[in-house]
Amino acid sequence: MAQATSLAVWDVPMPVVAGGTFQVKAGAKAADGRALAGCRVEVFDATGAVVASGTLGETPWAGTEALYWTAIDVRAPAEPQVAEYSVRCEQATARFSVAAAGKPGHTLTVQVTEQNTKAALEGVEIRLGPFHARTDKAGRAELRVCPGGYRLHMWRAGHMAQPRPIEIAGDASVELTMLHVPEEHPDARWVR
Amino acid sequence: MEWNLSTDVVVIGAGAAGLAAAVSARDHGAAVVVVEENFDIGGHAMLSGGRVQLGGGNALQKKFKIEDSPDRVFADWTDHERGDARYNDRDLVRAFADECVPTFQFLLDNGVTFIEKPIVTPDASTVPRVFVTHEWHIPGEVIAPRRNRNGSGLVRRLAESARKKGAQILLKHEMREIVRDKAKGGRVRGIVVQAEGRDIAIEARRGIVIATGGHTGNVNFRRMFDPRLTEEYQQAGLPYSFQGADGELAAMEIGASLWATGTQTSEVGPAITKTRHIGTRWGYLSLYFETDSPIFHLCKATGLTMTDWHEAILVNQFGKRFWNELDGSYDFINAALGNHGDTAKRNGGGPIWAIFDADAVARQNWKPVPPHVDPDGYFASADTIFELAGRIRNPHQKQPIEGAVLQATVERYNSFVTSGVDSDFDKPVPLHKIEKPPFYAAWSTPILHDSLTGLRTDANAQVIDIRGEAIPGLYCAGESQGGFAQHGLGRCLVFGRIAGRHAAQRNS
Repeated sequence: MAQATSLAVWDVPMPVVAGGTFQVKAGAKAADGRALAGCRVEVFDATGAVVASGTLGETPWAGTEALYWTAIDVRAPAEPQVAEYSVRCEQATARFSVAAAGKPGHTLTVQVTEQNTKAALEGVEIRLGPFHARTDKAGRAELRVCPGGYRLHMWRAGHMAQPRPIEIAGDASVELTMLHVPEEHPDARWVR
Repeated sequence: MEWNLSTDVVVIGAGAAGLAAAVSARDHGAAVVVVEENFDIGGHAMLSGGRVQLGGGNALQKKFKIEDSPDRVFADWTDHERGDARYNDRDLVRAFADECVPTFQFLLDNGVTFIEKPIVTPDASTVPRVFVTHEWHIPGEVIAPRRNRNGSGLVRRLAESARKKGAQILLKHEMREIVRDKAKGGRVRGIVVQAEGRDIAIEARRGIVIATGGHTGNVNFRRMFDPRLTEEYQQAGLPYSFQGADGELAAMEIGASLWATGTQTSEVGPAITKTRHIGTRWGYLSLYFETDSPIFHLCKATGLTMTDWHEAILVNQFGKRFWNELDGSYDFINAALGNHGDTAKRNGGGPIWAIFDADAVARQNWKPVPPHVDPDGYFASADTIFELAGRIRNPHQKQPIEGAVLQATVERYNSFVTSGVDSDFDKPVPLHKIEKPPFYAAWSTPILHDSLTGLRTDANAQVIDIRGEAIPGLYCAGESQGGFAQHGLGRCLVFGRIAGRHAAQRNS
């Protein structure tokens, strides 16, 4: 028998502050198009305890056919860890995960340029453990982070950079470079 | 046999090899008829990037002071340390090497023009040998306009020259049979073509040149070399240029042999490629049909250009990931073509789908609606991942993807984004969760391109039979020719020119 209802959970923050609360959006869709406004949604932690709940609103999420949704405040794990949650509405279940970290106390400012041209690189994804950011037009990004040792990863299509270790003990700035690797012409062959 | 038409040389196929053969045969005094099954000339070359590899010290190489020689071309393309060179027939490579410079001059003499910028290629060539032709100047005659389909300038110029020199080009004439004398060692006499539903027999007094393109569109034929290549794999160049193995099959029916068949699966060229334009049936790497293409009604969609595989996961026909999406090597291809548990169809890997969300659409500025995507079997969207699974419908998707399976796949991947570690396939630091509705599934099944094997010929492009003897009067050039696994137009042009010349010089 086909499942009558299915779920989506989105806008899950990354990371969340251990011991605090965070907000997610949860939506439900009835296979038969039935309006699900008013239906109850519950969030369970890994032990099966209900840690939050909400009621689907009257208006479907923009861009969807009939995904009725609500925003739910959820209690975060007390300690830094990766935690799993499940969401239920009618008979449907969905799962999501969060990385809980301490309250970020420091600001890391990164500036990314291309190694040879020195041009600022926009849209570089920066990641330190659960903390992440994307550079702006000036190649700059700010991350609020917790103290500790990390590996800093950068990603931008058509560019290369090795991960590098970084120690956060206070506010810091770092200048980074990525090497532009021109994409091989699609008509060229590639050789293993 | 009663002939409806008679000429000296019949060329089958009006692509790069066929047009070079036609011009060459006319230059050597033969009357020429070219038959082409398509509504227009050009074949695969019409949609190519126009990258012509003819080194050896050609005029443009000299202008840029690139030191090269026929001997160096030969050494490079027979280098035993390289997978794209070691299996080549050295007699063919020697002929190619010696004919590169005159063929480049032949192109210039016939009106072909080049962008004066040498291109370095990541293949066996140790010096820059590639120059790119100019795109044809009339967009409506380019087929895939404004997308660097510079091969249009090559084939349009050659067709123009061939016609000017008196070659007759018969469009929408499909070759059905090559007629050969029955006696042992008998010569070929002509061909039978079909046009507007009727058969036309064309006598070839001196020779026939097979220049029909490759075989990668013919499922049965391509599976001789790689049984995995079942029907779900589409062929680059379609819906314009069908690589149906017509020439190979017609020649094999009169005794011809294949040659260097292992090159098709040597995994050193773009025989099988990862898609780059997703959500459309024919999403080859560099080929993109704009809405003003004269064949857009057949293409149906431009596709969404994928520049960063962090934006999506790739799942098989059962809704499960199978490899690191960032990989574009043959390791990825081989994983995609693996058996993922289909017990009803053991060969072929089945459809591959890119799964992504509204955030990816926003980051990439995609427009996931027609004419950018083809919802008629190659694209689907839904409010939830579970629902999306049920909407993935395609002739090659033999069973529906289970909603719970696809949802579990996405939830697991999202957990890798949370942890920063892909413990299934080692995708380096997965960046983006697939979580924001609506959700999308786009056709991303690998697509086939180069034919790297074909009919056996000698250095004069004469077709050799299964007993090692030349079939008198029968020639082959282009992607239907085997023995030289070089990607691109160079070998097609050289052996087309050789075939036309040799056929024209035969006694009738």
